[in-house]
Amino acid sequence: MQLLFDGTAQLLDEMIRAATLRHKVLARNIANIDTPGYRPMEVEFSEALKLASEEGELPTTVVRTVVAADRSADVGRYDGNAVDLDRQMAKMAENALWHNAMIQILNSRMNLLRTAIRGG
Amino acid sequence: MGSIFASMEINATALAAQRVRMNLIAENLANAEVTRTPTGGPYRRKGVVLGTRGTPGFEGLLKAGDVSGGVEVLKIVESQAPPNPVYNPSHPDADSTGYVAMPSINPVMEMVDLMSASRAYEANVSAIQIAKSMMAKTLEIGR
Repeated sequence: MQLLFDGTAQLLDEMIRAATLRHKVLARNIANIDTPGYRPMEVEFSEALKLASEEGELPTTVVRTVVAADRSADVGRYDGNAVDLDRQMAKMAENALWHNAMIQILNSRMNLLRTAIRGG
Repeated sequence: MGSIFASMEINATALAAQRVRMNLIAENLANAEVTRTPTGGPYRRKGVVLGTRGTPGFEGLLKAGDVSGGVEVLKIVESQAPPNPVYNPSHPDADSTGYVAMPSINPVMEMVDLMSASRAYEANVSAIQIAKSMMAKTLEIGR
């Protein structure tokens, strides 16, 4: 039962959740495009996962996400709002692709399992 | 799943707020020549004050179905700019010197504001469409 319980399915599930959370954060930034003094936020992934993937091992740890202020944002507007619409839209499109890719991988794993159950 | 619905709700609050803003711009343009209002005097330009909904913390984002972080119209303010005097002695509202107090509305400014509101509206519509595509993809799991 390696295919089902090797932790990858759980990791994919966590990644999909993380993408959903990131979409919410970006949605919030876009909604507040005209709110004076609003600073954008971003989802950051914890160091634990980064280390695991840098070592080339399959990361089996739970994906930890932290919602923090977007460090790359700078205030260029007179009202103190630091939302850059182009950047936020690009991030959102990228995040949606990422989310869809995770689901695609999850589905191909399931199809693999289905093939195995049917016996070819 | 709940989180995606919440994202759509957040963008919907922005759609509503931008819609209010666009309505006020329409009102400003329509009343650009109005010298008599129920409160007396010429029409005064109206604008919105936008604010972030709920406490501006990070906690609200982690709760599914929470729409704090959306945008809301805190209040509608009237411009305190002095009226624009226009010389027109034949106008019934002209004062003893022949000047009429006209609303100080700059159509160029209103149009620029309208474009800004309309772009913000479009950005939020796009965000909702992206959320919908993510949701549709989520429904494909296991299919």
